[in-house]
Amino acid sequence: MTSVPKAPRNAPRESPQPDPPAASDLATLIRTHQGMVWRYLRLCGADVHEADDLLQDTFLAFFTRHPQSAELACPAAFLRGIARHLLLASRRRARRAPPTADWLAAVDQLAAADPHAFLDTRLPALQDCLGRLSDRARQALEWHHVEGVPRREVGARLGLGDEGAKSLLERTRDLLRDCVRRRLGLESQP
Amino acid sequence: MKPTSSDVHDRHLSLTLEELAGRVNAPDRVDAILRRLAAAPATHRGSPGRVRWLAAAAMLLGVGITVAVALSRPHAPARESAFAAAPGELSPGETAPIAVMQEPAPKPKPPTNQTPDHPKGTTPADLAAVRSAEKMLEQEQKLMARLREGKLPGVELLRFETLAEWKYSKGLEGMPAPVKGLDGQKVAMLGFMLPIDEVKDIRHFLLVQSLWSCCYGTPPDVNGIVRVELPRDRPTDYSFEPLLITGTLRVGATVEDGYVVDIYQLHADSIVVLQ
Repeated sequence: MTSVPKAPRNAPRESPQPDPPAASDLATLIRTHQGMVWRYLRLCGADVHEADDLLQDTFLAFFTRHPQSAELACPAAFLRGIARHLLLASRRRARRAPPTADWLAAVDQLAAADPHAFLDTRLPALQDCLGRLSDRARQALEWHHVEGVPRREVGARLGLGDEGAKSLLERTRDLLRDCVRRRLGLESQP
Repeated sequence: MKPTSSDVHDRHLSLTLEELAGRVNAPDRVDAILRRLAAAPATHRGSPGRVRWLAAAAMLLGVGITVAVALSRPHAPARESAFAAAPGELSPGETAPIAVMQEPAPKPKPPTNQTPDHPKGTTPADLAAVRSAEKMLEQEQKLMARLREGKLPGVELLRFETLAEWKYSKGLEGMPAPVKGLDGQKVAMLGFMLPIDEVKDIRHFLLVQSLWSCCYGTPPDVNGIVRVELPRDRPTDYSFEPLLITGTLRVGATVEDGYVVDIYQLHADSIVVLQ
């Protein structure tokens, strides 16, 4: 067993404040996490412009209050915490209804369960899985989830009742979720 | 209605599909953030942790002193006169209009967020929250004084501490008899509004002791929340300020989709926004 040599008593003490990270480190960190923060804010309830503003504020708060933060091993959860705080503060200032605590808790639960939930890597996986769906299922999904067509109307367009459309959408979502999880390596291949 | 995990997953899928369809794209803000960071005051970037701790301690000390002064001067004439400006709202049995009444606003404070009492980096929202909490404590003392003087017969100031002093368990087992006995009583409560569905024409909302505890710290348990019900024909709008609500308290579990969503309901007769 090797012993750790002790520093001499008169040796200069290590600086408690590490040097600020270089701009290239900051840029890398922002580039890596900005999409994640933006998508998290969107799911929490921020609109596109609000999420854009708060995304910048989140990184500013992150860097200005914690100069050594670029060296943190896992900044994602910390960034989401700041973003969430800023969204609530922004809603309070604007006197707009904040997202409910239940909704935020459910979003955080999603983030904890799926580490790719807000990452760029999810998009190509989803794209690939969409291509594996039947035309009918993909069309139903796009109408309902992208164009906001009500479920009953989706059913009418496909010659289904409301329950039929509900069932089709649920099955499609399950297929898609399982496929994406396999693509991202979150579950073993069947 | 409480959102389910499925609601969040559906919304998540919608947002991801929108992005995939090219309707919206995650922005690239590297340059903008670096520019803003370079322009940020150097004091923020290099502020040592020790200074921040001292600043936080100073703020806590300030809040403590404010609370201590409020507790030691329950009959302060200035506060009394401010409250007396809105008489009548607390008369038992009176069906006062539910329209939100504004207390006379105190002298405006300078809109600054960098006072010597607060740490650097404190945002206006942080300060507003501190001031709201202080204001609520002050109003609580004021109301207690009026109750002690017998000016509001038949009305009891009900504190969240009283409602939440027991550990909630299914079936309301363990609820103390005095709390059960509040069912049907006329009470006055101070707290903050937490909207459920809407922000205008609100007919019901949750009353919580502190917006901090609901939104930044540990959320209150179900016995730390009161659902306020307004008459259908007299809705109100969202307010960020502390509220004084009088009405009839009901004690009993409300179950939705198999979940207990609240156990206290306050059927409001009047709401006063404490500004």
